[in-house]
Amino acid sequence: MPRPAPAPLRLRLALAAACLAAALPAGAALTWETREQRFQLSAEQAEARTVFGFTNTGRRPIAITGVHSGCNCTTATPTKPTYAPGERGEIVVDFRRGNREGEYRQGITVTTDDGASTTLQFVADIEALVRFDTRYVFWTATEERIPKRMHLAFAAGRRAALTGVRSSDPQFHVAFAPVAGADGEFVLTVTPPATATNFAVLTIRYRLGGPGAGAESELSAVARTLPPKDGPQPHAGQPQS
Amino acid sequence: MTRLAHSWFGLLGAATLLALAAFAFDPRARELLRDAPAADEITLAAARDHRGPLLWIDARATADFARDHIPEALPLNPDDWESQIVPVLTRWQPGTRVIVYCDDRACGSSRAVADKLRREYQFDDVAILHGGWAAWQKAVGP
Repeated sequence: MPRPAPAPLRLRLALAAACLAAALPAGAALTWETREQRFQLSAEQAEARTVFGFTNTGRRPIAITGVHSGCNCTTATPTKPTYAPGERGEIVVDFRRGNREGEYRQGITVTTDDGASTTLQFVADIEALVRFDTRYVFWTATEERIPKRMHLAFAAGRRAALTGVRSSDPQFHVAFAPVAGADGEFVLTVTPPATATNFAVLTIRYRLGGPGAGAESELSAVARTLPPKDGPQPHAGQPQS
Repeated sequence: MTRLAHSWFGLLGAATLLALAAFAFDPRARELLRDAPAADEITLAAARDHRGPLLWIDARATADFARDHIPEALPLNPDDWESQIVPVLTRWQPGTRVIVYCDDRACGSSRAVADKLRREYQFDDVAILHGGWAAWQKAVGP
């Protein structure tokens, strides 16, 4: 049988335990399975759903008093408002991509009636249907007015055909052509007016699935000949000269 | 007496180390440490110190912009991009600093807008407001 520790040592150990207990955080009653989720959306997917699971590891019921995402693109809802000790629950997150593409991060703040606040995060890897090297070509006031190009590429594996390009200002001439040997890639060549200072929205019409298949959709790009920095700034479709 | 003092100091030191360890593992402490601006972010104070052309972009939902926004900001959010990009391009010229904001630190729309402006529109100076609209409101007051 072990001999009992001497009184001074017992006192020191008790005090150490008290210091440790005081140093530990009060302890969030909700224990989260993970605070970050990652998922992919293909170019055709408009929305995705993910869930954040948790358990009430406290000694009393916990109520979720608020869930805030800070973006209209995301709704986050608990499966129910209150959880008994030991009970598992979930925050269901619905994400709508809109025009987002690439890596998109969004935080969601969950508050509970014990005063705790937890920030969850999801990362959506969103495939872009179309990639431009640039959607905006411009010429400064001192720059030579030579044609500039825009290169666009549809997502891998998507057959697409450009059916037309229209400029809001006919002084900007636009031509397009497929890139030889590269499926789904096109080059737009934009020729600016020789002297006018103007702004044009280029509407690019395309059809997925190749010529004659599916409905037409539109993308936009912009071309502009910049005025001198201190000069009047024209609006789209309103020529200055 | 010296031995007793050493044992108490040792005890205090151990308790302090345990307290620091508990702090380091506390998620609320990590939140505080994460408050430093990211590399592509700018604080409101630094933004106000900027001398030169400046363009504020509001990446929140259009309805939020309509309710209130930073003076002279333009709306540009991922959901209404096609209808909102033209006024932004009308206002921007090379050499203009663009600062994008959305609700707060947790909001990802400002980064999505900033990335798209750099990548597809060749904007050469784009930053994200650290703390977003919440930081502006805190500075301006009720």
